[in-house]
Amino acid sequence: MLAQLNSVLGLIESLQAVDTTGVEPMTHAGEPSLRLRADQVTEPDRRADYQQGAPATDHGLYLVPRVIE
Amino acid sequence: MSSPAPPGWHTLPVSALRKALDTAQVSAEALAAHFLQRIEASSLNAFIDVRPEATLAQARLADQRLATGERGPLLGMPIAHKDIFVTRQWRSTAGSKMLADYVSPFDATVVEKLASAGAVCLGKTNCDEFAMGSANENSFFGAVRNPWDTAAVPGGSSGGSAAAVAAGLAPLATGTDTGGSVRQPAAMCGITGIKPTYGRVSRFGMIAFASSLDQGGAMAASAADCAALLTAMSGFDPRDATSLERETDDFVAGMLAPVLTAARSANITESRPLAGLRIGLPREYFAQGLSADVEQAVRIALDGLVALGAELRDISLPRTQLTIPAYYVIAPAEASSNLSRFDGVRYGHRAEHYTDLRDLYRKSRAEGFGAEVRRRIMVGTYVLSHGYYDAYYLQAQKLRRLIAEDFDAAFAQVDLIAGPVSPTVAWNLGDKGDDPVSSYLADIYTLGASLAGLPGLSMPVGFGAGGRPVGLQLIGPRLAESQLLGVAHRFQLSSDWHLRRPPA
Repeated sequence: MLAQLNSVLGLIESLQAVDTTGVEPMTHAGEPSLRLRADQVTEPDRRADYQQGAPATDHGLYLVPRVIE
Repeated sequence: MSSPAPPGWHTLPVSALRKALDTAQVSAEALAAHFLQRIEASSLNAFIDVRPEATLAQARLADQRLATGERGPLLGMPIAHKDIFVTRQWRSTAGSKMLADYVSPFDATVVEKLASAGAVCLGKTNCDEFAMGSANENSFFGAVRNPWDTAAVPGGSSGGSAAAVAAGLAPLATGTDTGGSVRQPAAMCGITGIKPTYGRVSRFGMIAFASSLDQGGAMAASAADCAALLTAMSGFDPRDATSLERETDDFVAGMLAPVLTAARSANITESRPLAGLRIGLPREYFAQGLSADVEQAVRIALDGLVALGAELRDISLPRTQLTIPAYYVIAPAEASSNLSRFDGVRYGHRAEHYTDLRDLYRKSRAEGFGAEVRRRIMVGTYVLSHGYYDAYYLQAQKLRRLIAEDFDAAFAQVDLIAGPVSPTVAWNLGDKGDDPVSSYLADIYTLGASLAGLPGLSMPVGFGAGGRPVGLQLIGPRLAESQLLGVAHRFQLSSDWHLRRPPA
């Protein structure tokens, strides 16, 4: 794994050689302007559906190991 | 159930299947059963989840709609979905152990649109884990074999979709393309595939890899079939923040329309449908590294386009070599962020043994993700970390703009760009298994269009070493899907590469 990670880092190192002074970063293809929507409730309550795939739940809560002793 | 479909249905184009369904020569159910049978008998490992009851129920629904006189381009048409699109009725795994048993509580917009158009889902196709790969060898569910030569990879990441279409297991398939994942497997399996302009196809319900690059696409034997599928898949979706707000285009009509505007189509004739079309050949796409067999097939296809009236011009995309480091910074950076949601708590794999919450996260992720995904998460985290962010991530984004500007400059001189899809034909299974960089380098011709968000198409143009397929790539300016499909369609009307089928 370490050797492979190093070879990937070697590959991306070549970016450093390019002069990008004054170039605006491009964050997105096509650079869409983000839309705003009306502040309305559009999604119904589907908590039970969404928790079907959870490893462990109880009363609508996700269960994890105890974090506070 | 109606009488079984006669053998050979799986070699027919969508237009012929359309006619057969509309004239009740075959029922949607019989057609679906025919393909299910072929999937069952296939040993390519192209599918991850197949549920005949769910498929046949959808087919019967389509038959009912047909019986009432309803008609539609995809009503009753079988389709396979890449297992990156989430589905309620089939598992949604993204080719990962992390989601091996995951059933989505909702359908992706693409899945929903195709189901309401009456398309019949045959199941979910195998792919590289979270779409990260170029050979379909990074799937938790095992490698997919290339139907042209089972010693070869099918390409990736949409390798299951490409293999399924090539082998006649599905007439149509969806794919996704982040850095070439529709175009490259299409080329390696000898089929047609199109990645549209970023924003055309909704990403809602498409399991995220690199959100600024991910784009759904269409895969089928021909450009005409891809046009029908792309029309049904694309369109504005308010649930995807980056969806393009525009009217849904009819790519079938667009494909059949003249490839140039009225002002420039004066010389177009029936035998020269591409007269006046300027196609640019980037010299960087024909430079050292392109294997001779691929170049030969591509050059012969270009001669074919010239015979149809197109003019070839030499152009340059000077930063082609730099698309590789730019992409392999940006895509892992976005992936590391997107994949942080897999924590073993809300859904997906949870380790069996752990000591505390941190250990639960650590073990669940280490067990749930395969080697390539772990590598990309680590590289992505590294390039986003304090002290390296400017040098890698920001620098890659600046370079991305320069790469996009190279395409803008090229499209000031030419209408379309053409070149190879991949430097070589499909390699042997296992050949690049341990060396991610050698596989990354093979993405060189597809990454540019992805970074710039441009539409790209791959079509079959012959065979190279070992009788393995070669694809020609066409890249267009933003929203030029109809021209790409139009050029490919004219080429396919005058050639038969897209009709070739692998040995049974």
